[in-house]
Amino acid sequence: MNNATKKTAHSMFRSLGQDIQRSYNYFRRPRVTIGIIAVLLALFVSGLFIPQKSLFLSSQQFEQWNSEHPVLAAVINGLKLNEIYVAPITILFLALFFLNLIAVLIQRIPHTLRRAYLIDRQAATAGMERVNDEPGAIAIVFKGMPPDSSTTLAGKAEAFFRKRSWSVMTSDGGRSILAIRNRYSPLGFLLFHASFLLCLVSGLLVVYTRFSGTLLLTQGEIFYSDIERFKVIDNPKIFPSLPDLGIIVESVSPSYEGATGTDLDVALKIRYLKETFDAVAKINEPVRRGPISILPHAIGISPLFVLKKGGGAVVSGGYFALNVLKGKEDSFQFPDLPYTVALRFYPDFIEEGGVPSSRTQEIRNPVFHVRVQDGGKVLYEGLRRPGENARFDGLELSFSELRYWVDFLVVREYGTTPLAAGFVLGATGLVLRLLFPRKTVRIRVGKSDGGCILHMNGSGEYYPQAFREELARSAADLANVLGGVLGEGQTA
Amino acid sequence: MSWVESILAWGIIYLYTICSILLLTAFIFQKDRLFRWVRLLLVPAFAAHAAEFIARWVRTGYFPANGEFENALSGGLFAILLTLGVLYRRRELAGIAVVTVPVTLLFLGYGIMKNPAALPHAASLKSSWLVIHVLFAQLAFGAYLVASGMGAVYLLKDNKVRQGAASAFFDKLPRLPVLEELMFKFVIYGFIADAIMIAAGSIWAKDLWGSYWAWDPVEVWSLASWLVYGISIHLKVQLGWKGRQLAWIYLFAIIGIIIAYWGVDFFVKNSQHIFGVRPPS
Repeated sequence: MNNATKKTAHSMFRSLGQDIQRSYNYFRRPRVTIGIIAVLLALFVSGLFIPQKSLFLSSQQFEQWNSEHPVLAAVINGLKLNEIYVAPITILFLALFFLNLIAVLIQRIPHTLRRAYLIDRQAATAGMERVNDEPGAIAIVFKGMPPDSSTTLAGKAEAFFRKRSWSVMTSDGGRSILAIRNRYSPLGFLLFHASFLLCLVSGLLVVYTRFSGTLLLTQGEIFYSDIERFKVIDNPKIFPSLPDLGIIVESVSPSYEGATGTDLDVALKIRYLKETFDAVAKINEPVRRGPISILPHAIGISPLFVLKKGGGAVVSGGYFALNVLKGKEDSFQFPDLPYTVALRFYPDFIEEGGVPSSRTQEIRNPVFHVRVQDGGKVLYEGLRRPGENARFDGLELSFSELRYWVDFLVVREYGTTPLAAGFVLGATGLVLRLLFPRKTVRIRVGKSDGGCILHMNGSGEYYPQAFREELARSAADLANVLGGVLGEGQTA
Repeated sequence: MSWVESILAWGIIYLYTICSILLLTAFIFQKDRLFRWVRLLLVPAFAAHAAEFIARWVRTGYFPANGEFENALSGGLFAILLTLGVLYRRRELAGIAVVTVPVTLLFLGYGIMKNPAALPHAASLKSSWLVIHVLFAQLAFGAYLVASGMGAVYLLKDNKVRQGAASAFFDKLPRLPVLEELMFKFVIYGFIADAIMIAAGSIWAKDLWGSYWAWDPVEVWSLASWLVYGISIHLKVQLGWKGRQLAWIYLFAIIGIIIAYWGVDFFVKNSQHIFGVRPPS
């Protein structure tokens, strides 16, 4: 490679480097940050208007909508906009958001630390000698004070601000004072924005390690690490194996007010790893052990139905988990038999004007409305109490015992502690940055005709009007403490 | 609803109605002396409102946030409390009530017509996180509503200033920079309360539904509304937006909050967030 080629290559690389630097600088501009947030906002809101898979009541409804709107559905489904919150475009903008956040944080960390820790004293106190020339500066006049006492006066002014918990720096032999209130406020910016990164990392950890599934157990039934029994909702992408877990439902106590469930206590015996313990799980209060939580989210009843021949020999039977609370109808079939048993349940039976109903949702006087069908043919229909038989086809169907079943949501995930820490960090950052804005007061003490004069001025973040009022009050207090007089037209 | 609660509820509604009429009249006909009456009436109205809130809490035994009426009751309470707080500090700012009082009145009216009876306290609502979540939600709503009221007052005053028309009525309002700063303060207050509300809500969701975030429509609206206010803060702090631009944003941004709190259930039937008790199917 000759020199000319080398030079060209060098200049090309330099130009490329400059372009990258320019793009990077552009990328971390506030306008870009706001633009990215605005696009994310639009994407999030569009999920409320573009039909989302998750918002259809059933997959059949979703399919029906697709067939009714073939063109629109093809576009939406093709771009995966029917799952907008995990669509590629949303992921892209979320990635841009976090990259922008990192770029801005990298840019702002040194500057913020310098401001909070007042590292560059020279820069912080630069231009102090011109305070008296600044528009809005307040003057306090000390007539008759020897001109050489300006340093003493400045010392008293410094003590005044220190006493009121301001951070103070002096320069020019102590005659210039820089007082800062809430100097750590800029750190709030770092805390708040860094909390997003912490939430991102812990959120990813939660998503990738999350196992969730529902597990239906009837009172007295034993579950022990039989993963096949779960209806899996989320499969973990990492750490796929679950710790040993055993659950026995010992008792279920629901409470109702009208048709509304007001309490649910599920007493459990749990075996987690090598530990066995009793616990009570409630709605809103899952049982937690390590990364596992066990949350009851639905209950129903499991009656013991027995089918006998007329002579008394048992044909079939078992506990059947039914979803019949609150007046719903459900059905079951005995294995290898053609009969479908459809049931309505009245937990606290009452007959009003010949119409069966239930006084409460609590099981006080249980009655089933039983309908037995073979194909479309109804073989039996009637109301049955515990111990009463429904007779059809030479058989007798009875229910003798009622138990509850509980559907648990079992979740295993890691990363929840850092996620909570992210919330706390974010809230702390917001409060620190926005409720305690940084205020700066600059003071210069000098000589004047027949005495000394103190000039003060300053600035406050976010709320300049309130700061001017505070500055005027501080000036009045300072004049009062030091025995000076506010300059003309500068009363608090 | 007990007869005491009934009397209090209708008393509040009538007092807020009178205040709303006075406020509208004051603005339209520029009669600032009517603000004095608003200040006088708003204190007993708020006292009755607080008494109703406490009476409901004592009778039911839970924080009133169950159903439209209770949500209007607690949301309005904070909006009026913040309004009175502003009026106590700056009497000349009575005009902000032109947004906060009528909006509170409309929500209370809607709540009382829908169903003012105390609903059963569903198991899903028995959580300490609910109180934190709802308390901060209502604080945020109150603060944003006050900011919205200030936005309206800012724009009205700014219009007069731009027209160059002298108006004793508008001259008595604080200077525009002061209004702008106060407006921003309430947005900051609301923004922080909103952030805590979202965090507390997601912690509650983990206990109730098993996951922190599920992109439920109410969650999405809340996040979107919070982002709108977040963008407005960036626009002011980073890009120097001020005055009318911000006032317009704050005047309309409240719509997102209202939709998140009261509107989603109208349009989406399978949101997990039911503000009350789901009727039996």
